[in-house]
Amino acid sequence: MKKIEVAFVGNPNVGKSTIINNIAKTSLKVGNWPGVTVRKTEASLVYKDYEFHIIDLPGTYSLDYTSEDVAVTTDFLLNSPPDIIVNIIEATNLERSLILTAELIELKIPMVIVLNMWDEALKLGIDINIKKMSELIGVDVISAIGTKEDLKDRLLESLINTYEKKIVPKPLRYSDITEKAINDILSYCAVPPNKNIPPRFFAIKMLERIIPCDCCNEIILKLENDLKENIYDILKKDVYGVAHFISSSVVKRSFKDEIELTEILDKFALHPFFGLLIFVVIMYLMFKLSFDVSYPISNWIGNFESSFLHPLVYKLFPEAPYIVKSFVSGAVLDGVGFVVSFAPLVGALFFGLSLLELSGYLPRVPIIFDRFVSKFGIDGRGILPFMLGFGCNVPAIMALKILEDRRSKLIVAAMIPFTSCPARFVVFAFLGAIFFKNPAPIILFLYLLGIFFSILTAIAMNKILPKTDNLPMILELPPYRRPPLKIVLNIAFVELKGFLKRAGTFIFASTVVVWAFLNIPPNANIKDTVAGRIGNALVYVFKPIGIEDWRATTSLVPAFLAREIIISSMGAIYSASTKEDYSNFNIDEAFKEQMMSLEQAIKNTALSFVSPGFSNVFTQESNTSFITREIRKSLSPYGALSFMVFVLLYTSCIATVSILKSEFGTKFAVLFLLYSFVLGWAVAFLIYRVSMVLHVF
Amino acid sequence: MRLAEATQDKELKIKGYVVKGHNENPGWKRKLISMGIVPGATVKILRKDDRNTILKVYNSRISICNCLADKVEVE
Repeated sequence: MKKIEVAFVGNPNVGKSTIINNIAKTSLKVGNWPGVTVRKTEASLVYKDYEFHIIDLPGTYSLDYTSEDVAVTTDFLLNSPPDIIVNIIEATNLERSLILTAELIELKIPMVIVLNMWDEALKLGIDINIKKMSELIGVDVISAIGTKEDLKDRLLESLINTYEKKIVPKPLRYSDITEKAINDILSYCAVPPNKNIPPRFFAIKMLERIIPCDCCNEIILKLENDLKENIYDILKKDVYGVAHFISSSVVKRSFKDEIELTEILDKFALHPFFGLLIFVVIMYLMFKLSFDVSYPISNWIGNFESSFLHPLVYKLFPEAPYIVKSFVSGAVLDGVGFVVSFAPLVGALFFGLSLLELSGYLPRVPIIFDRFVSKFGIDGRGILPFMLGFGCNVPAIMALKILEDRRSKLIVAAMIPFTSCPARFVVFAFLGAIFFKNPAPIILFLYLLGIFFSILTAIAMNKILPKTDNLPMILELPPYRRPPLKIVLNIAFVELKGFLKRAGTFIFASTVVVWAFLNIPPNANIKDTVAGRIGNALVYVFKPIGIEDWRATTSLVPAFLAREIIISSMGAIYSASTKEDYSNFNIDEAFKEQMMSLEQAIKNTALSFVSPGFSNVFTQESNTSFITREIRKSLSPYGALSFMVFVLLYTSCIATVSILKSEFGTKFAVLFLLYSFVLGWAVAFLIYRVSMVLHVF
Repeated sequence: MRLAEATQDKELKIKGYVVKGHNENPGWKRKLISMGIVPGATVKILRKDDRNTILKVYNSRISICNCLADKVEVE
């Protein structure tokens, strides 16, 4: 079997990942905004006698080093050239896209061009003569709609043909002046040695001053003085000339520009006042969708696990050894089961986030907030990774690659860990439902508190970090698109699968350790076990912030691995410390009761679609299992609020700390961890004391 | 005229950039060029406020800060 390595290259947001997902049946992250892919991702597929190794590279407008994600693409193409480049071009924006194509042509690597978003081009009256374009560039050109099934065969056949015949693009020839400058550099200066890439490519980059070259300076200055023009301008004019020539030779527009829907929508979405209002409404709807629609089902799963499955274990296996029953009920059901019960919430949250990402609204947010965030040393672009933090802090920190300067990156990196990711959300939803009649305002308060401390941290960082010159804000706004339901559901499903996988592996393993610590030494009083001793020691640290029960403090220890573990640990700890009497448990009656409550949960979900505010599902007496009753007894509402504030602000997530370390170094990660711990404790202390004095509950 | 001074909804042609010397090739200029804001290109200002200008260039919508729009000359 022959192996073919194929790299997908193109401008940002032209649908590279969507096409790879289509042909290789992968689940690469997609979205309708520039900067979705910030690192090299890979996929494989077998077709006929060929094994394709596909590499998805971050989108770029040119091959240079303006930002980290662009550098990933440039470095890869220069240092490990693939067998074939698939240059994805937005058919609606051919001329601009061909500028990158002109640079790719210079690499002399076999190439196939895919004109994506063909349907959108047709709607705009853009007709591209594919045959002529193919003749002009000298490679296969394919029209495509990224999500359509027929693309796979057409693209793979073309790749095989290109690979077997080694079809490289026709060489470009620029103006005589540029060609002379290129030849002078090749004659008099040493270009970087690279056995895969022609020296001409490097000579052009030396002319552009992207590759520093002392020897070239003399040649460039002489030319510039002779021509009274910047050589870079001359070179780019030539490149544009090529792009314009190809574009004007192959494109026919059947009707004139009309005012598009995107422009009409942008009149409101980017308006200084209405834009902000629309943002607030959209965010409200997204959280309403996530909270209300999914919470009744989440609540039912939690109750089903603790009020039906848990007693069922004791009823069906009364003779089983205590340690086995304790493991199944404590570690598996009350531990991991509690985390799993929040799966509908996580799925709904990612459904909402993907709708935002795929609609094209997300890249408008930097413009809405640019004025505001500029006050603390970053421009609107920093808002994009910050918002991704509400989905998960880890990819949000990775998305900082789209920012050009380290100062902005550091400021936004220090903001992201205070955003409430779904892991924190499930902790808030879990404790909120136990302690508060209507937890929605409490959860909203916690989200806002996180944003407040993000801003405060950014202001502090802006004061501490030395000022640097950064590249002014420039970004592309994609057109609004109707989010394809199939892709939205697929993203939510993939994220949900990841959440359940974590619950079944990482969280389960951590819960087993907690459960084991609760049983060492065997048959000891629970307070004398390893977990009990650790928890009791920690009470001294957390007593001032209202967390006085050793079971609550113990649950915070494994939470450093992942915040959801707080719930599984609480389940295991409170379950182990409570003896429940199941002698009156009747399987048939309990099952009927559960089915009735499921029916009610489905009705509540349906009702939440039509209720205007946060629906009343939160106000119901929920989670009435013995564990939740015990948790309610062990903390006051003030203590519970303080607990949630601490969980919000303390970066107790090993994955976030690891990515901070890998992106910004150990010193930054450790300092940030200490800062977040002290801040979390201090703010929890303040909120606990003030709320008690004011009798807010 | 600078792009930052131009009024909304007008179609304009890019003349060049404001640079100190002819051998200058700063990052902002490279970025503008790579995104299609090049001499000869026709642009339309879709909207502008005191911080950003949103342009239609070819078939793309590009948002540039006014500090950058002030470096682009149009006619």
